[in-house]
Amino acid sequence: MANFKNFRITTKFVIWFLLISLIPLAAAIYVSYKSSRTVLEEEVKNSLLAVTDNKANQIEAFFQRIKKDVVNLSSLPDVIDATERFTNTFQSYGEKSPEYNALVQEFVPMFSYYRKLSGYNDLVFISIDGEVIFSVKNSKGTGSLYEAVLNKRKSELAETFIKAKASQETEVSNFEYRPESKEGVIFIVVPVFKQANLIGFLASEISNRGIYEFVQDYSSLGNTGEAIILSKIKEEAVFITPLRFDSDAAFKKKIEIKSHEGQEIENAIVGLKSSGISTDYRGQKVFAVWRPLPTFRLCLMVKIDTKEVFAAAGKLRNALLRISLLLMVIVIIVALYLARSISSPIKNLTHISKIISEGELSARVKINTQDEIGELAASFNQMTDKLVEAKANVEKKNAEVEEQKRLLEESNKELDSFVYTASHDLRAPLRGIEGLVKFIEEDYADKFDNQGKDYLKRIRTGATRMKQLIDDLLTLSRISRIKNPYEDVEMNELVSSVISRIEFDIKQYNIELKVADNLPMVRCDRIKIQEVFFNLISNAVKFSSKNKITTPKVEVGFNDKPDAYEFYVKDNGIGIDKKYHNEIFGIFKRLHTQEEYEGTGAGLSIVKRIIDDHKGQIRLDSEPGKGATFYFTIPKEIPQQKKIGEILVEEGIISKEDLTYALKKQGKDVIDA
Amino acid sequence: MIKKILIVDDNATDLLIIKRYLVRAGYNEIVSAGNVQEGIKKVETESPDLIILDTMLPDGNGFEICQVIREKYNQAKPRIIIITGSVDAVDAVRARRSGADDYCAKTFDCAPLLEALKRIA
Repeated sequence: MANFKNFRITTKFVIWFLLISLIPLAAAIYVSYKSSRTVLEEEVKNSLLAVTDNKANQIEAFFQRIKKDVVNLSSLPDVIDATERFTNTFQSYGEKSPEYNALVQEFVPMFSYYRKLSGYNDLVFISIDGEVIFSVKNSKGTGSLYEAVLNKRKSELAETFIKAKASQETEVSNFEYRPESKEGVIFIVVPVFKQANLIGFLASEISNRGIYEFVQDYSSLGNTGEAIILSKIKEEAVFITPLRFDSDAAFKKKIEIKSHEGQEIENAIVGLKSSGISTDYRGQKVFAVWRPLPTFRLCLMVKIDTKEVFAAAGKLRNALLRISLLLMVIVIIVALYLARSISSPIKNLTHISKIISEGELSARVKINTQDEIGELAASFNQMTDKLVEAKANVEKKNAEVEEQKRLLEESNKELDSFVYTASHDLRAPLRGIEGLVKFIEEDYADKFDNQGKDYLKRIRTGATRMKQLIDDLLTLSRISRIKNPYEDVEMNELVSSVISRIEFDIKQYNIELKVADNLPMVRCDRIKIQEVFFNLISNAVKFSSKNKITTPKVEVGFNDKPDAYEFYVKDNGIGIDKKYHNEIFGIFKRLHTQEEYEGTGAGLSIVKRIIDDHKGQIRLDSEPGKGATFYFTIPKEIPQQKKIGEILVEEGIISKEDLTYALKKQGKDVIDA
Repeated sequence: MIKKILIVDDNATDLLIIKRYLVRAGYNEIVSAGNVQEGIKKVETESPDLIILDTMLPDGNGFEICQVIREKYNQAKPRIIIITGSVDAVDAVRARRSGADDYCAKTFDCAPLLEALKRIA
């Protein structure tokens, strides 16, 4: 991800605004959704519990009423009488006898009436020894119940009879399925007493259909809620009523007791109430309540789909999400608007500052607001005003400097021109003196005695000396006036040509000259650098030649420096005292008498001027009696110098048009001049 | 073939010296002028074969005379040598541009002039 710092202001605003608004919003949505769910769950639980209790009470009351009815029936004199007489007749004559038939004829109308009145499937009389002595539905006995148990025939009636005989109390059987009639039946077995003597048992067979009406009432159970009654048969919980979404489910659908659901059901059957989220027979998540129906040892389960329960919470969540989406859009719009209100003046400022940086100093920022941005714009404008002022000042100063430079150059030129003219004019009379002295020597030699000849010689020497002084002055003046174009010069070659000029002196003074053979190629003014080497080497020759103790030696060498080439000329002459080191480069500075060394002393100032022109440095390393070494440097990078043609034009010697014309005639370009 | 030589120089001593060396070199027909005006006039009246011009003259300089002569007489005649009391590269360029045949320094023994003469003749 790109660095947040580098995002545009607009992007940053949007991100911040979204963060600030959406985090609490998300939290609020979460909390309200959660709490609404909790509230709903609580509400549903309470209402389910209420519905369950209500239904359970109804069903229990129904069961109790049936049970009570049967018990009441068993104490009726007709029932006691019937039990006694059926037992006697059955045992004395058998059920196929006319006596038994007569008894059946006598009692069938009455007990059929009772059966219908109470809604029983059947009313069965059982003798103390377990013989079914009369069944109202079948109008006969149906065999021994003990036999059924002994034969391991599954018979709820037989099992319940045995329990009732043992307890001598009313007993309720579990449900038993009748495939032929597709119904479940349950038996209530009641002992029949005659004056505290047990004479037999009355059993009523009751169909499960009687409780359908309770479970099929779906009021206050919404669209998915339902009540289910389950009975534990062996290791299974069996649905004994039809389901809302499966009317054929009674005694068909079963749940393993060991499953989670089954456990809840078993708990309920033994008397525990519970509630919670579960999965029903359709695989749907449901909110369910389990509670016991103790009379018939059944479990009543009332449940409703969580989807329906939490639909309201879901609706709330969706509404909140929609609101937050809308809010997000609003937040983005506000953030964009705010960001724009901040960034657009900044953009404007940037734009103006770009215009100003391109040189349009009259540009100013329009101030629309009085806030911080407005202040920034105002101070930016102030800064620009100051900039304009400062620029004007600098320009003024520059103009002043330029003017001073021009004046200085002018006066330098004037001085040069003065020196030039002066030395020119000074040479003229000297030439006369020299020339005429020569004429005298040639024409009138015999007319002078030795004294006269000596005077003439002294005049000539003086004139020669004077001429030298003037020549040096001229050279110095010329050096500063004329600038030759720079070229790549092979230094070994240049030094060789210099040495050839003073070969005579070298031989005459028997000087041991050593020149390094690795001198580099240097970009410089060839003529002037030649002058430098000429002056330094001839000086060195001059001074070392006076060394009377050892062989005079002169060495020319080179050191490669990072930015410059350093050359040196070393001699083993008399050396120069430190206190003169700074002075010797001044014009006509001579440290020695004329007799000791010839020359005017202008040489070193010429050298220094040339090295200065090349932006180099010159220094001297010397002590009296230890010889002297002159070092000078030429920078490796020298700013481009003017071409000779440009110099000629500048000096006013030739007009630019003439130069161009002349050069074109030679087939050259101005640049090559 | 150089026979008649005109020297334009305002310095009498220089004139004296130059004349002596030219005579010694075998040139006997020598006339002289001391300024630009007189020099131009003498070029017409004397029609010399060689003109020796000094650079600095009281009413101008030798280059001017050189230019005037070149404009008038085309390239052919007469030969012109410019002499100067100061040896200077700038002067050399100017001399060439103004149409002189040669250019040399003034010395008390006129050696450069005599050499230039030899080159031209």
